[in-house]
Amino acid sequence: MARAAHERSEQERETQRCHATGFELSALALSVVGQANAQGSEASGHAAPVDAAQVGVTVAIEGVDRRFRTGFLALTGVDLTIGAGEMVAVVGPSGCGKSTLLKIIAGLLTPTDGVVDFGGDRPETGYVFQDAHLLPWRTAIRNVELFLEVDGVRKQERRDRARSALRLVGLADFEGSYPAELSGGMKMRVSLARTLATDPQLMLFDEPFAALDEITRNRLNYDLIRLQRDRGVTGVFVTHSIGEAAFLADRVAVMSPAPGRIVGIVDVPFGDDRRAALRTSAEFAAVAREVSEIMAAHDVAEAHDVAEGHETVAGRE
Amino acid sequence: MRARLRSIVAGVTPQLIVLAVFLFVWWAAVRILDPKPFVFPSPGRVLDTTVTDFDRLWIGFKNTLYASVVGFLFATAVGVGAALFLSLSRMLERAFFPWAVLLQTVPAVAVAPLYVLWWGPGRQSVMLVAFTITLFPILANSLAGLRSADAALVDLIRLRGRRQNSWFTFTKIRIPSSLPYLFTGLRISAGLAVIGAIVGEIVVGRGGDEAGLGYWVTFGSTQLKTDFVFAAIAVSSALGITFFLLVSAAGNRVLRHWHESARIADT
Repeated sequence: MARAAHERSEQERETQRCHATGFELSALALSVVGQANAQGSEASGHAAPVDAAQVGVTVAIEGVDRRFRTGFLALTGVDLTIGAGEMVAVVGPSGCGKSTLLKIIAGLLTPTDGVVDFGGDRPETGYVFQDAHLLPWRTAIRNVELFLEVDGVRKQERRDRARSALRLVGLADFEGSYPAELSGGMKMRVSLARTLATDPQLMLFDEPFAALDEITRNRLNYDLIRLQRDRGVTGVFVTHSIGEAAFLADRVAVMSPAPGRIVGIVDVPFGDDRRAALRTSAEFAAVAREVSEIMAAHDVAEAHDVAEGHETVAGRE
Repeated sequence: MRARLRSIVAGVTPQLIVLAVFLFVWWAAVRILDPKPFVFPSPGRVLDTTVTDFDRLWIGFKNTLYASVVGFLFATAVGVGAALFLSLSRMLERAFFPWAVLLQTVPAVAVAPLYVLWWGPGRQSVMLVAFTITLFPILANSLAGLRSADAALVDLIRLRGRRQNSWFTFTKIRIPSSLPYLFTGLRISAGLAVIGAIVGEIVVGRGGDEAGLGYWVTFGSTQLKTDFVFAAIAVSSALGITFFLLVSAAGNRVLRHWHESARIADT
């Protein structure tokens, strides 16, 4: 009984959140984000980005190969330049080396050949995985503080920055909740806030919302793109979903099956205009079809059913 | 509060019914088959002995409690300490852990006579038997727990310039992550500690002030005081259950924020 009630209240909370930042009230959501930004930088005494577009960093991936110790060639000759503040989605079949590429960009793996050049020092990099990877014994805000703690940020500043990051993802009222008390979508938001709190110049997303239901996922995509564009952060977003890629990215890079290489790049001409209605527009379907056709041309396993039409594309998200 | 009380009552009622049926069948069987009391006493006789020999049982209870708790705490300190040490590197684990597994297969009863040879009969040998039997579950579970830390999270911390085995990762990630596993080990060992102490008392125990429940079991059976043996056994298992429940409660308290699925093995 108690459990059922608990779950119900969780759903209600998620529903409330939906009303606060959902599609219908997007204007309100935007102002919340703006406000939180201002408060955040005041509170933390952090240098506020004068020009948001300058936060991001350019990433030049040049001739990257990666061979694993087993001899398996995961990536070969990957060339991709991502502009400052740009969001690039990388789509491709399972096992094509998408995650390997992200790990190489992050510095968790070294390329066997080739380089990743940031035009200077390694930027502050945020990495968001498919699962939230929170610490169950810490409240939401203490989870968000984790990386700042690693960096040795003082307690008060840590708290302030974590608080404004939680506000950015719409979880201001849940800072004292433990992960077990949050829904899957809320946990992903905490995970996102944990990364945002470090003020990243580059954010890497490894299918971050793949484990969520479609409604939650669309909402998070929507919130994510607002955050990324407001801050001018450079982003690389790995996904299986063509629809998600087209909705989020400025460009969609298509990878071939292993050994992974980039076989095509599709420009997404929507600029900053990423309203929910976009998903059902003809232009959106055209982008999705173009991506599908590249995949089909390179014998990407999933391509066939995706290419059947725009209905299917929308359904796959 | 009332609802909670009602749910507790509802929870234990089936168990109490089984106990009542069991006691009735026992009582009826003794009544009908009428065995000699030293072969199989009636529940009433056992209860009588518990009351008349209460002093002896109380001494036994205290000594067994003491031996099992000390053995348990000692095993916890050594087991957790060894697990922390072995978790420092894969190499250490590979070198030592198989030997720990091998030691586990040595029956504690079989080494008890050696303890008598080295330290003489009595308390410390009893505690050592309890220690020997409880050590491995604690060591193995803590080690598994320390290894269970979220690898992706450790990677993310590594991205921020901390080594994989840094003090930060150790104290803030690995040790807290190990707690559900540690408590699983402690729970298993809590029950084993009492068994170990009683086995120790049977093999290497002394009487008099030091007499534990295991000693009274041996004593009672040599005197053909079977009702007293029954009473001592009942007290022993009550002690084991209590110890187990206390450790479980402590674990639930520490792990109350972990989601149920993250806890390792319940009950």
